[in-house]
Amino acid sequence: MIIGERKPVSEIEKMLAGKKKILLSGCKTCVAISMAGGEKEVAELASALRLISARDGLDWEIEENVVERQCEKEWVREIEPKILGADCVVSLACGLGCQTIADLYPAKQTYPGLNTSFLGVPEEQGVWSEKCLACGDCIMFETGGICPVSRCAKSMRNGACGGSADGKCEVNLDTDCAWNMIYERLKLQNRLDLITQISAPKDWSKSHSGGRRKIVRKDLLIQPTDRTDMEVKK
Amino acid sequence: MNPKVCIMLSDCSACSGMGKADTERIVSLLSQESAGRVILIKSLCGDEARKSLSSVAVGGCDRAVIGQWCPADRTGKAPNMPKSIDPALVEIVDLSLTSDKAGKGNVERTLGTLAQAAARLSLAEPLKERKIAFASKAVAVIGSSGRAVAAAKLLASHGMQTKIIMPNSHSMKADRIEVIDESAVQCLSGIPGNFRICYTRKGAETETDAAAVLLVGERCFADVKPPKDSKIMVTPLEQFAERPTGKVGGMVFVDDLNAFNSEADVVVPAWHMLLEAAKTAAKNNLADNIAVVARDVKAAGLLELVWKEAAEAGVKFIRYDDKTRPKIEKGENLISVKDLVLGETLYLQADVLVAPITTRPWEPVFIEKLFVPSDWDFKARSRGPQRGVDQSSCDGVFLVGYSNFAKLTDEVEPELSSTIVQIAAMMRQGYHIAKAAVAEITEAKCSGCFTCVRTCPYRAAEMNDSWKAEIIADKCQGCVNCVAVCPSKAIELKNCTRPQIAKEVAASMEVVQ
Amino acid sequence: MSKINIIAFVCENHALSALRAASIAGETLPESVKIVKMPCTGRLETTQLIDTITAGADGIIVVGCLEDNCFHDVGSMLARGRVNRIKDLFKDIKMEPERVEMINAASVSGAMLMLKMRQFEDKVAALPALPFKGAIK
Repeated sequence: MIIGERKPVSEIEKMLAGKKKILLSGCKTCVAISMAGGEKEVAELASALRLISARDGLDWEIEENVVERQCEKEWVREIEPKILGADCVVSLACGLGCQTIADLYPAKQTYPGLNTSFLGVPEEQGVWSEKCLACGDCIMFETGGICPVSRCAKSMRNGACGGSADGKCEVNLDTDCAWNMIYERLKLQNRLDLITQISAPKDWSKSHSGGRRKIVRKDLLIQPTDRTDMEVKK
Repeated sequence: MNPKVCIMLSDCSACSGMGKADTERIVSLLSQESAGRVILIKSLCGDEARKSLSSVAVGGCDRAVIGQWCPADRTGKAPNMPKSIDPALVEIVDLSLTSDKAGKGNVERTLGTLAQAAARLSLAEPLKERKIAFASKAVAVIGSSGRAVAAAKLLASHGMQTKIIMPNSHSMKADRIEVIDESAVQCLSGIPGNFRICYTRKGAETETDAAAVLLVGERCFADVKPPKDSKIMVTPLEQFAERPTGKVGGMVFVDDLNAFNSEADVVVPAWHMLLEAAKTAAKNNLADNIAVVARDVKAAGLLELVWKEAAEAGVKFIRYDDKTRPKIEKGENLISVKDLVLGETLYLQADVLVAPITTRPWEPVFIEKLFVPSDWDFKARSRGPQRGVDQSSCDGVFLVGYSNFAKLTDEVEPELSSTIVQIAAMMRQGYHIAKAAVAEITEAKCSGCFTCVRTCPYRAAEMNDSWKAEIIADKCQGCVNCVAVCPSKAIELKNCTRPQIAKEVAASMEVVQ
Repeated sequence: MSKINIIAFVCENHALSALRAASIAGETLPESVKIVKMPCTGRLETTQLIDTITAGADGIIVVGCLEDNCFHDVGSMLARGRVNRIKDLFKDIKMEPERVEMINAASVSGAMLMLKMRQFEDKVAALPALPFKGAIK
């Protein structure tokens, strides 16, 4: 899921200079589960902002709200009156949710209350770690299900670098060397032949390095196409 | 419906240090603010006063706050209240903490404390604990050794219906004992008084019921086999004393036979027994070289003395860790182990290898299902919520011997007797009290994130078939931690809701302005 | 009459026993401390701690069991984590982090608890007054 962290309140405070009616909009999906921008975190931020407002005589009117999934326009439209009625919106969703509001209501100032951090998994309660970089060309079938792109500091493609020692990464001794893990995993699966195979360099054009990505599934489009089967852009 | 709180204030000046004028002033000030009634009563430390309380006129109030000047414990049992008061909505407030013991009146603080209690009570719901009668009349003993059989016999001799479930075969016929032999326990579930034990016997899966379970810490699952094709003679630690003596070149004591299998988990079952046996072997000169090879060399408390004696008698202690396990050298009477301090490999002569066959209380079925202590170090977190020495974190599951924590061998016998007493008391009671206030999940709000399942110390939160969390009411102890951690605010626990806490906090501050 | 408000969130287990021990020993609660009981300090959410300040508290004490001996296993540890989070938040927004403290008490530590409460009361009384009394409900 998408993992984020709420920005320091002092940073959010600066964004709100001169505003009065502030809408806090959280999301019930990824950021709620990663305890960064769900209903409770919206309440926490609201309480902190109300404290600042009362202490500093700022007269803020804080409204709290959470939408089901802030990256879907329909869910955001549900709270249109609240958005239009506010001087600004602080989105506690990931960057996607924040932009969904901002793009739908471009005249309204929408601020990010969250730093969107990475795609990650909950390792244990309270610990989330990055495991995917969305490189667009997954090669985990060759690496026993361990992603060297995200879990290796250098995204090495064909085995560990010279800095790997005692199974740890030289960049951060707390981090396991991904290629060491891949070796152990392939050994367990009796597929060490994959380790000796040299893989071709990755096609990084499929990752963000190749530019902003977009997927169009023609079989799913509801909008009309013209007779030459070209999609009609809206 | 506006619930009316009746505030009853004890007029006892001996404990309050307040004269009549002050007490009456409190009543008058409270009456102005309160919707219910405010009355003076006699102190409840006297029988008469407690009895007379039932006839006090409370004017239609359904709940009451009783302000007492001595700590609540001193007043004995809860008093009989007038009929219109719901007994589940009575709160005895201990005013002794806020009374000025120098004998001066403290009207404002008393006012504040009573007003705060009344505010809390005004939002309270009458919740009653539930009595769930035991479905079974039997106690199940799980264990494989003579000690387990002795436990079963002792229970039966106290009149309790007993079932003993053991992996080995046993032909015992005794009154009130049902022997379930050649069986392996697969799953333990249920609530105190109503446990269900699933086991496999001769390939078939069956179940049996029990009201209480006693785990006797001998090996319940005899799955570790001594190494084959070796000149080394393996002796079980428990039968060490019965081994025919005769001096040998080398004797090695190891903490777990699984140590030689680098794939297996190693545990530290009977460390103290290991120490004692090694010490005895050294003192009785049973071998030229005696060594103890163990993963965790613990010598705290009582064990320190035993360790010292063993070391002074010539026993060598070598630590291995999970990554460098000892090995039995092929075809030789040698065990090699890497000395972690020096970094060299030591070769120990091992004509006799002594290893425990006891106790693996950390079999998954016990840890995961019933949260049985799995760390002999007695760390509270791995052990679960606070319990007595012979209790697991699950009421009704008792532990004896090595399945609990390591102790000197001769301590086990009295421990068994005292545990039997506890079991007898539980069986005599015949019912389990399930908490009044239990957590409740609103399924529609649940996002299936597993946070409550991970947090609950009592394993009372589980995912249901629709991938939503639900609370097993009979397991819930009302600790209210799940309510705070749920990211979707889907869990609530009555009488500890957000509005109630906020109202009480607000009421606590009203008086001071 | 005290000029400050201190709210002490006390768990009903070891912390309450500590209070009782104090009471039996003849101790008195410091003047400005008001007790709010709950089944476990793990119930407290960060939002509630902030709201308690804006509702008029000058200081908050969270009294729970000793961390490796919490009656409900995880509660006092979680409570301390949240108290620390609020301290960090307060530092960030230029509020005094000393206004919120966690005290871990064994069930017999009546005297220690009273002492720590008195020390906390003195510390909070020395801080600049907060403007929240009655400001927000």
